[in-house]
Amino acid sequence: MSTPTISGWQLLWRENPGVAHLLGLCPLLAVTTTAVHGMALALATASVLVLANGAVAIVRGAIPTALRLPTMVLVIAVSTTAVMLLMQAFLFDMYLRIALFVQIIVTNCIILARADQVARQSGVVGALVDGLAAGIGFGSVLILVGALRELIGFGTLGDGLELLFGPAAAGMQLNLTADGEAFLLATLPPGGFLILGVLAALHARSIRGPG
Amino acid sequence: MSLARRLLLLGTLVIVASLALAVIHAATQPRIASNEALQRQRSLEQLLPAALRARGPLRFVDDAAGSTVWRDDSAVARVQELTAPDGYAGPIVLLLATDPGGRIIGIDVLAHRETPGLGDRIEPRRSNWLASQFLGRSEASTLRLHHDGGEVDGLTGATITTRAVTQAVARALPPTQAPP
Repeated sequence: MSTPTISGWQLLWRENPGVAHLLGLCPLLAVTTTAVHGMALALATASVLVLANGAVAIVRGAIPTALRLPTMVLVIAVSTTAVMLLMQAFLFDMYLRIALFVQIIVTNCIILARADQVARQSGVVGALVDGLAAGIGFGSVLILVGALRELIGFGTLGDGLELLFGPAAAGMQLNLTADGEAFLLATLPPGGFLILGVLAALHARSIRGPG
Repeated sequence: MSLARRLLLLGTLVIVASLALAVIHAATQPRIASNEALQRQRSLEQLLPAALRARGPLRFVDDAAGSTVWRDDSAVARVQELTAPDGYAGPIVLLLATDPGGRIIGIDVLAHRETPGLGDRIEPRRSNWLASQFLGRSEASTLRLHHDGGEVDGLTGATITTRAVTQAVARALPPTQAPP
């Protein structure tokens, strides 16, 4: 883990974990069949990132190098379990839909990468900012890919919003097709790869320029 | 730092972490349990026709094979979970409600991994295939796809899925009695 230092707000765009580093591909492609699924996993992942980063920053002074990795694994496991329990208590129906992918946040390499960065150099505030930026950066890719796949694949946008925002959001769904079916490839795994690939290419072009 | 001190440090961290989780668990447990109970109750009630629900409060009494639905002193329906082991992408779990005469009055999909856009049309929220093909039936002998000589319409592109569902439902109905 001797990656060059990437700090704080760069994670939002230039060093976005989703489209620049293609980290967390498994949950990214598996969950994002609709925008709302993306939002829910974005929320869960960002919460774990902030919790884990904060906790690592607090204990890092007391932890010798040899214990760094076990400590981070412990902290990440606890953060993920906490977020899982909270989702089951407060967003139960949403949790049922993406349960497996909330559980495997524990293995998401973005979180370990950020925790390692924080353990090497960061105060608590810096760590929280870092976690939040990584969470928003990764989360916005989840939501964007989810929205595109839902629009192209089902012809809808915002299906299931009420699971996240309560019954008031039930009517806020946008339907472009009558039967909720459009270009199905987008909802299947290959479609997810294609859309993410296009986004990654656009991102790389906007940063490095053409050629 | 000596090995003993490292172990002590790691042990302390594990204890603190466990305590934190225990607190969160204790705080969320009642809510999670009530969510789960509500979810089960809701999915069972949704399964039964509105007419049955409107006439008064229902009680669900569980046994090994499913639940019997009681209103006052009479059994009005039976709810059971079925597994179709031979779905296209693994087992399909269904929930089936029958009236005391063995007629299907409700059916839903609890879990499946069928292909989005093809096999997942067995979900009631994706199409009305399930309700249109099974509600009101009671004869296990007619419960086969047209392909297989029965009365059930399959879904285009999802023959394996619909066949698995149809066979699972047929197995759950009492065998048709031979005419005297």
